[in-house]
Amino acid sequence: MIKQEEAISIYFHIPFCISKCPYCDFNSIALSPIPEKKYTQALIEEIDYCVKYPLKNLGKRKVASIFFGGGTPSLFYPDSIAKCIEKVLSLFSPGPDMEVTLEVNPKTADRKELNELCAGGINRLSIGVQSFQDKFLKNLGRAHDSSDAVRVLEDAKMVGFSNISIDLIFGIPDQTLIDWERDLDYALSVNPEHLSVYNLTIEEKTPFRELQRQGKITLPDEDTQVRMYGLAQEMFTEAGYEQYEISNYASPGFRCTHNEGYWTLKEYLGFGAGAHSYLREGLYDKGWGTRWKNESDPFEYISRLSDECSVVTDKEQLTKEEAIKEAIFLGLRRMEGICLDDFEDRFGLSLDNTFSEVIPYLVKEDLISIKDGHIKLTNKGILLSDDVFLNFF
Amino acid sequence: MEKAKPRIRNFSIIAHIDHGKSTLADRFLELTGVLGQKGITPQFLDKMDIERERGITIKAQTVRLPYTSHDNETYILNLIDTPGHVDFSYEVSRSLAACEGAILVVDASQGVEAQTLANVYMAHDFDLTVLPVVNKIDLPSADPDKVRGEIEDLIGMESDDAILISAKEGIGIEDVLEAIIEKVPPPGGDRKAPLKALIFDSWFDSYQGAVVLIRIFDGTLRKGMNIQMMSSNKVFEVAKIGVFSPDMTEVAELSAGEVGFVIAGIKEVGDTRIGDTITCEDNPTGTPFPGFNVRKSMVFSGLYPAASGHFDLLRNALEKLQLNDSSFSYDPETSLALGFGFRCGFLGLLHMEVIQERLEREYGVGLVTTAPNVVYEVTTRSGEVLSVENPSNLPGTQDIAFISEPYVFATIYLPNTYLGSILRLCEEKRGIQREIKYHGTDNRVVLTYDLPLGEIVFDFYDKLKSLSRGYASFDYEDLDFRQSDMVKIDVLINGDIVDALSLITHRDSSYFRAKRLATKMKDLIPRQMFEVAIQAAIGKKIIARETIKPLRKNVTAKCYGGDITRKRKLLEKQKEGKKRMKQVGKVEIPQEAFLSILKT
Repeated sequence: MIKQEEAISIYFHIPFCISKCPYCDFNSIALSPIPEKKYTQALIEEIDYCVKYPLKNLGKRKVASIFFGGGTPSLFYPDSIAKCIEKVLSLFSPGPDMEVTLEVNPKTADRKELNELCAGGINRLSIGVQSFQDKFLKNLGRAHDSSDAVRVLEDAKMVGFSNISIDLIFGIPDQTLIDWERDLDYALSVNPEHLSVYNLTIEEKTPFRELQRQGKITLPDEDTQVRMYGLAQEMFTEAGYEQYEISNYASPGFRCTHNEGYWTLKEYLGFGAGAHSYLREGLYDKGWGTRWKNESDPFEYISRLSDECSVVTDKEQLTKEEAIKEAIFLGLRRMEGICLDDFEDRFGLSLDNTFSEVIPYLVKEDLISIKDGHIKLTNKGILLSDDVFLNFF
Repeated sequence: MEKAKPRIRNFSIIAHIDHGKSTLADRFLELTGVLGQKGITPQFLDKMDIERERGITIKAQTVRLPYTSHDNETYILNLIDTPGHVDFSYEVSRSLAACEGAILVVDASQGVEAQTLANVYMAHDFDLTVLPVVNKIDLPSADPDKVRGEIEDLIGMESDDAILISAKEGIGIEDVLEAIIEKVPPPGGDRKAPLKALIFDSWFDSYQGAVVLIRIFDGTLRKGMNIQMMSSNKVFEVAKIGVFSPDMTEVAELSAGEVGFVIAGIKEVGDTRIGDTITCEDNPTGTPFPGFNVRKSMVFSGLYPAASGHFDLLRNALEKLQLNDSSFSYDPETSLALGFGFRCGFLGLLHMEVIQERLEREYGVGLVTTAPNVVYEVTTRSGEVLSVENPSNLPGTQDIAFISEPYVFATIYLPNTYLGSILRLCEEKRGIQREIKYHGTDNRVVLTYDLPLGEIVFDFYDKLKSLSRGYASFDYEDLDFRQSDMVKIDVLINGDIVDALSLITHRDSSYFRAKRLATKMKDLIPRQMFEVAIQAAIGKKIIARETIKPLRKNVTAKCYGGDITRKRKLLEKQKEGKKRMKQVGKVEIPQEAFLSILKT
C-alpha cells in the first residue's frame, strides 16, 4: 500500500555549462556569463508557485533527497545552491538521512567553494571525472584535465565530504581495454563511496554522431565494450562495491537515494528548465500517476515565471499499462530486480501470470532469473536489457 | 475482280526513341489540314501521358491524311503508327504488315541505332518500300553525310535520295509526302473477294466495347455484316466502321487497301487478338493473314498493394486495365513478406513498367513490386510440360526431366571502343553469337546474339549501358525455349526456407547469385539475440552461407534525470517497429529488408 506520508525527492536542473561536450544531448547550453541570479530567482519562484497552486497539499511531505543536476550545477555560486536548499526546507521537512547531492565538474569547484557548499547543506558530491587520462578527456571534449579531477577529489575529502561519487565513461574513441583498466585502477585508488560507470552512447543530433558518420571517430568494437563493462563489474565487486543498478556501484550504505527513487517509482518534483516531475496523485481514482516536464529553454523558463505563468509544457496521465511497463523496465535496471509481491500489491495482478509466455522464454534464453520472489536480469540480460524490456511491451 | 482504289498509300514511320517520329507525324497532320496549326498538343500520336513522357508509343495509332499532291491528285495517306519498344516487336510486325511502305527516320547527329535496325530488318521482311529520312538537320551537330553513310553501310540501302528534313522546323515535310506517293506502291487486293482484314491493334472503350484497328487486304466491310475472328471463330455483328481523321469518323464501307476501325459490340479485347484475321461469316476467306501468334507473357513479377487493405483496389484496377491490354495476365498469390497480391505476366520489362505506372497513376494504387523473372518450361519425368511463372512453384528436382528457358534474338549496336567489354558481357550472359558486323566509316559495330531472356531481365541491360557509357543501343525479339541447366536457389534463415526469396538461375551463375543474396540478407537483417545463419541452397546442398553474429549489447547506459517518459516512449516505438517485422522461425526481419531483396 502507498503511504501518503512517503518522502518525496526534489531535483534542480541547472542547464548551463562552460562548454558543451560533443556527446551530450542533455538540456544544457554553454554560456558566459550565465544568468545565475535570475535563474536562481526563477527556481525559488517556481517552488513558491507550485506549492501555492497545483501542489498545495504537498507542503507537509518529508524530503528524501535533493539533487542538483545539469548542465553544470557547480558553475553556480555556493550561495545560490544554499538558497535553493533553504527554500525547500522552508516548505518541506527534511527526512531522516536526507541526501543532498551536487554534480561537480572538476574545472568549476575550488576548495573554498566546496567548503561553502558543505556548509550550505550539500552532503554528497557526484564528480564528473569521466576518465583519469588526459588523452581520453580530450577525446571526449571535456573542459577539465586529470589534474583537475585529482585535485577536486582531494579538496572534497579535505573539506569533509564523506559521500563522494565518481562518474566514469567507457567506450571512448580510441580507448582500449588496457586504457580502461587503468581508469578503473585510478578510481579504486581514490576510494570513492560510489561509482557510476557509463557506456558512451552516441546520441542523435550530437557532434559525435556527425563525426561518427564521417568516420572521424572510431569507437572500441562491441566485444571490447562488452569486456569493458565486465571488467568494471569484476574489479569493483572485488573491491567491495555492490553493483545495485546497470551502471551504478556503491560501498555498503552508500547507494544513491535520489536515483533509486526514480527506479522504484518514488515521487519527485523537478524544478528548473526542462526538469521532470512525477507524482502518484490520483493513483486510486483517475489514473496511475502523472508525469510532467518543464519548459526547456532557460530564458523562456525565467520569463514565464516572472510573469507568474506555469512552466509546465508536457503533462501525461499514465494508464495502467504504461505504469506496468515503467515498473518493469525501471525495476529490472536494479540488480535486486522486481519483487513479485510488491508488483502484485501495486497492480493487483501477478507478474508471472500476466507474462506467462515471456518470462519462461527469457529464463530459457538466460536473460532473466527468478529467485527469492524476485525477477531480475542475468549478466547476459543486463547487456541485452533493452531487448529484454521490449518483450514486456 | 475489282482492284483496290489506287490513290491510297499505307505507311509507317520507323525511328529510334527521340529521333523525331512523333514530331514528324504532327507536321503531317498540320500540313494536310487534319489539325490546325494552333492548339494542337505536340505528339498527337502518343495519347497516353506515359507515352508522351517517355517518348515512346505503347498503343498503335492510325490517322487518315487527305493530301493533294503536286500533280493535283488527292490521295488518302494512312499513317499507321507503331509501338516503339522491344517488348512490342510482334505488335510492330503486325503494324508494318498493314503497310506498303515505311519512312525510316534517322537523327542527323545521333545516327542509326539498334532499334531502328531491328525495325528496318522487319520492314524488309515484309517487302516494304523504305524511304530514308534524315531528321534534325537544323541542329548544329547534324552530320547528314555521315548518317547517309551509315544508312548505306548498315542497312544496305541506297541513300542518295534520302530526304533531309527538320520536323521541328517544318523543313522538307512536303518532300516526304511527295516521296510516299511517288515511291510507295498503292495497295493491292480485290474488293470483291471474301473479306480478309488484319487486326493490328485494339483497345477497350467503356461505351462501345473493343475498338479494333484493321487493314483490309481483300473484300469490303460494311455495317451490319457478321464478322468472324479466324483464330477463335467467334462471330460479331458490325455496329460501326470508320476512320480516324484524326477523330473517329464513321464511313459507309471500308474495302481492300483501306485502313480503319471496326466496332462490333465486342466485350473483351481478348477476343480481338493482334495479328488475327477478320473475315465474313457467310463468305470466309480461305487464307488467313499469315504469322498470327498468341502472345505469351514472358516476364513475371509480383505486384502487391503498398497499403494493406488495398488488395481489392488493386484487383479492380487490374481488371480494368486488362480490358485494354489483354497481353498481361494476373493471378492471386500470397507472400510471407508482402501478404496478398498478384503474380502478373508481361510481354517484357518495359511492358511491366508501363503497367505498373498506369496502375499507380491512373488507378491510384500504391504498389510494391518484386524483381521480375522469366517464365520457364519445365518438363517433368512423367513427360508433362509445365509453365513455371514463380520460382517457388518449381517441382522438386527429382520430378524434373529438364528445364527450358526463353531465348531472344538480340541486336546490339555500339561504338567499336566498347566491343571488347560488351562481347565479354554477352559471353558472361551465355549469349550465342550470330554475327559481328563492322561499320566501315564510323567505328560502329552491330552485334547479333541469341541471349537468354532471364539474363536480360536480371541485369544485362544495366550492365550494357554502364559498360558502354550509354552508347550501346539494344533491341530484342523473342526466339524460342531452349533446354538449359537451370537450378533453383532457396534461401534459408536458421534452417527455414523463405519462399518469397527463391529464384531460378543458371547453374554457372548460381554460386555468384547465392553469395550475393546471402551477403545482402546479412546486411539487411538486424542482429538478433542469437546467431542467425543465412544459407542459400540448391536442393539440399548449401552453396553459400553468411552468419549474423548475435547482438551482445543493447543497453541504455544512463537512465536517470527523471525523464522516464522519453525512455518509455522510445521502447514503445521500438516495439511498434518490431510488430511490423516478419517472423521467419524466431528471426525477426524488417519488411524493408524483404522489399529491398525482392526488388533486386
